[in-house]
Amino acid sequence: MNNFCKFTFLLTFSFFNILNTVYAQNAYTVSGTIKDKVTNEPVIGVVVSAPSAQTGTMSDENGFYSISIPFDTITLVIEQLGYKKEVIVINLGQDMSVDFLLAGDDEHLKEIVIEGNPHKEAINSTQMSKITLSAKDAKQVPVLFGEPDLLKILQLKPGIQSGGEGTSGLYVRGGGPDQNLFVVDNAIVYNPNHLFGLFSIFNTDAVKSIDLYKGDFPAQYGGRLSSVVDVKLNEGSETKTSVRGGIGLIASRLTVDGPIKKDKASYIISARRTYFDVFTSQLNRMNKNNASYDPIPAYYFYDLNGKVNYTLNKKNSFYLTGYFGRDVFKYNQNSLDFTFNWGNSVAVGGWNHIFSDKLKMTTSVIFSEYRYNIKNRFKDFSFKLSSMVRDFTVQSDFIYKPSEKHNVKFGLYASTHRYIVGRLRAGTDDGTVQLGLGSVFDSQEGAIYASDDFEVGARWKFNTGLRLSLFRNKSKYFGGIEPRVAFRYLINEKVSWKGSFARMYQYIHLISNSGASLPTDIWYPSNSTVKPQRSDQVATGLSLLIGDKFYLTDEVYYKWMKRQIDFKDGAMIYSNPNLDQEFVFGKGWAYGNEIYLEKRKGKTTGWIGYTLSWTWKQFPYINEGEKFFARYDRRHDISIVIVHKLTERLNISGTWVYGTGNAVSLPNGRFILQDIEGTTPKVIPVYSKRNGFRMPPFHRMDLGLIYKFKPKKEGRESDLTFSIYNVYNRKNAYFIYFDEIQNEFGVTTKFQAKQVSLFPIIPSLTYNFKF
Amino acid sequence: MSQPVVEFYLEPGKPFRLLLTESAGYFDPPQITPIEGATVEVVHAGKVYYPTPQPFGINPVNKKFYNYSTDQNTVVPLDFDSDFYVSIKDKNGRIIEGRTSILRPVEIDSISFLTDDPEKAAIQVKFQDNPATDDYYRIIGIQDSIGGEGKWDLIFNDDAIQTEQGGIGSNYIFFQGSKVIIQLFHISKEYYDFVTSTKNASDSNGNPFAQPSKIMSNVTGGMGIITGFQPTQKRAYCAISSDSASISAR
Repeated sequence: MNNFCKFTFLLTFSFFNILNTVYAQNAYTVSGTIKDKVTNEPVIGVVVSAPSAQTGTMSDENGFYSISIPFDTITLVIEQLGYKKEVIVINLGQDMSVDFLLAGDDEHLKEIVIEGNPHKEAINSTQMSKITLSAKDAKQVPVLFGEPDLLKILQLKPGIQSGGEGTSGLYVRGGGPDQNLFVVDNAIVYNPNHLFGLFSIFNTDAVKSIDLYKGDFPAQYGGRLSSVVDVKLNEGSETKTSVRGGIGLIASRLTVDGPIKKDKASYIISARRTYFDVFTSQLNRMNKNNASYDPIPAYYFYDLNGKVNYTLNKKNSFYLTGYFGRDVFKYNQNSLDFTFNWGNSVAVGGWNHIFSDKLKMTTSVIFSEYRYNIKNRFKDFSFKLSSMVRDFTVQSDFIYKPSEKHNVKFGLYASTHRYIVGRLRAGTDDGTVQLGLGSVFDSQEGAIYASDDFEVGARWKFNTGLRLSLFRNKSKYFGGIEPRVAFRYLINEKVSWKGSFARMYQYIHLISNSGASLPTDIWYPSNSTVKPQRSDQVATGLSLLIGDKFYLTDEVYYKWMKRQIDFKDGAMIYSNPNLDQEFVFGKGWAYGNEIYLEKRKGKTTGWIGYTLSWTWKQFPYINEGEKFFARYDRRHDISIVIVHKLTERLNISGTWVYGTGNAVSLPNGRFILQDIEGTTPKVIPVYSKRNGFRMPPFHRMDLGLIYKFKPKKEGRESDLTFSIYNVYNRKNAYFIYFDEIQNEFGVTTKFQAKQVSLFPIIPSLTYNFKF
Repeated sequence: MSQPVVEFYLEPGKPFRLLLTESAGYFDPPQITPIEGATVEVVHAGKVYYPTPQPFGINPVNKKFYNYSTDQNTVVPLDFDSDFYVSIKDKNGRIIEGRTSILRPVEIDSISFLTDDPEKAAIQVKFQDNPATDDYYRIIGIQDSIGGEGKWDLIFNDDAIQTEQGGIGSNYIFFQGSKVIIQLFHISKEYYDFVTSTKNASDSNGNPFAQPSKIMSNVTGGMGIITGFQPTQKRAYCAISSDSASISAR
């Protein structure tokens, strides 16, 4: 009842707040869409400002903008880096619709650029703890194996860490990799990784932009504790067909886009595939008659992205997005036939509708699935293990701009989830031996939300929001009241102070018994034993413009994480019908300071990030109930990224990263176990403290060189990208283990700690083209 | 800090024998430190047994170390109903205690071999599992006629067994032409947890993906295991039949 009263109060408060925005004002609204003149694709993040009215806005992902102006005549300035600046004078006697087609000012900068004048907008916005990246960012920074990866670029930002060297897992402000919400064109993606986390599923040619929220979560997002990664996919050109792609060391990609119906409908298809297996199968074939040769298993991954956009009229447009990706591991020898495959399938149908220049809506119908299958057949004995999570979702999001001072967002979300957890089927063909396990669960999740971004006076701006979420698993219901509040105080036009509070609930959980994200990790719903996780995060900080080229932010945060999940020691997670009994529950908390200095204009661009942070966990049944550091607790984290334009055709880039070593559990004792007859004695390590040791500090430098070829024909582009990963060949510890050192008679003489490093210096070359 | 470690396996018809040692720091010199001069009491069905300190040596039959034992005539009674309570007190006053019982043996029904490999074969063992109880098993296969490779050791529970006749199989592990001895142990959950946790602890040393496991002992005052069992055993000859694609057990 008490919660109901709170809920009613907050709902009423939000309702009146929204009503408050609908007040009469002598203002006119100018709205419309901004598109690229050549491709006719919507351009997002374009700054539309009315300097004399001291107001401005940015175009959204559909290129839509809306600005209210309290004057009859106004000068509008439309600015976007990489496009020619547009200045128009408008005489307003009524609300108007004005569309813009922006022309590029540099052939080489025609790729998507998210931020036009991002620093000024960032100073003015209430939004904090947000990172925005474009495909262009990924292509400029040197990368492992020459394969551009946006998630790895995100790891170079303060507050975000990788799970291990070379991996694309994200650990955001002390949260785990399962606490990140990955959304692709509104669809949740459950596993964003290929090859055990070495590459992300996001093909840079298919991605338009990525927004990552570390805190201050907008009310439209929910369902995960620590971050939201919102990926928008590219749209095809409505005017001309183009082909682009890249040929790299381990993978190649190809994208084709163009009009289906000129200025009405477009398509884009992107594909990527690795080719380790082509070489390994050749090697296996060459050694076919070599009895001592063990064949190398085949491994490859691929992904396909597709999107169709259709503009019915000025007020209605539709899109269909599809993603399908798989990792495949195969081993076939004699009568053993082993296959392991995993991946995501996503389909989204969306409708954008503009009710008026003040109200617009996006409604999506979404299908998302992640599954893995392990199949093994040996003579007449077969074995199959699989797990799956599948969603059907409907979502509607509305944006209402009653005046220049208010920006109201509201919407609803409803989803049904199905989970197949550890389904095992095994047995002999004659049926005399049959093994079977596994559980199937169904659950439903829903949410409504509303928020308003509004100004109070010249200096204060607030964003108040509320998300109400509900989760059902059989007869068990869970509800969450998730307030989101943020403020901005403009100290002067170049300095602002910001603060935020956000509560998040997580109703489904990734069950992983390892220190890394593996494809076999299982998604599991909340139930009477496994309660929803909850986080509360507060953050505050300063945003500063230094001159007109540098942008500095300094944020401190504190995050409380309730009902965190871990496993009992020795837990059995695969094919366990009583999985609930293997969990233990505890809490976590994280705090830190993130400093970020960025330069986005001029010949030399880049950023420097520094994070000082602590991440703790405490579980009654782990570490004797004492608090311990999370594995990815990192005291100091530094990243430096520099891109320098040497000439019109030659860019050089470099990154340097440094991080305190991970907290790890290492044995501090041992004993001999001789066990029963038929077994040999073993040395058994004894672990006492959870994560009581530190790995050595991690640091690495990468360099890159991009040479752009002179185009032979108008509209053609190509470049050669040369990268060196780990330039000074630093042997960073991937893990440490203790080994027995034996003499020539096989007798153990001493024990020694040893370190395993993954990647030495690795040069790579990638050829990119577009025509 | 070191602590006492006990390994005590009670097998009907055999003397009470246990190994009592001290754990060591990981980088200490590689030697086993026996705990000497401790008092050991085993209480069962109102009778008390006293394994006494023995010279630290090896059992010539099974190659196992022990340092406390009863004499050859004082053996573990065949009793599946009453518990065995064990209490150990060392010279420093440390007390290690534990309790166990002996589970009824489970017979092996059949053994068969599968292969299309020219050298090696896989094995399939079938036995009767009681569907009404949660049972734990350990199966050990030893190849005694050809040296080197070829040993099978598996610990498992009956969660996945859907038919009354349980079955478990190996990969290509036994050399064709070898004599194979299969032992099936019907084990307690405590022993299953102990062996699994020691395996997890060993595996996590050197595996970056594994979460280190605490040793799950069934004793207080130290680490280790006190358990009892009576394994069943079957021998089979892994030989090529006239059909080269299948191998029969003889």
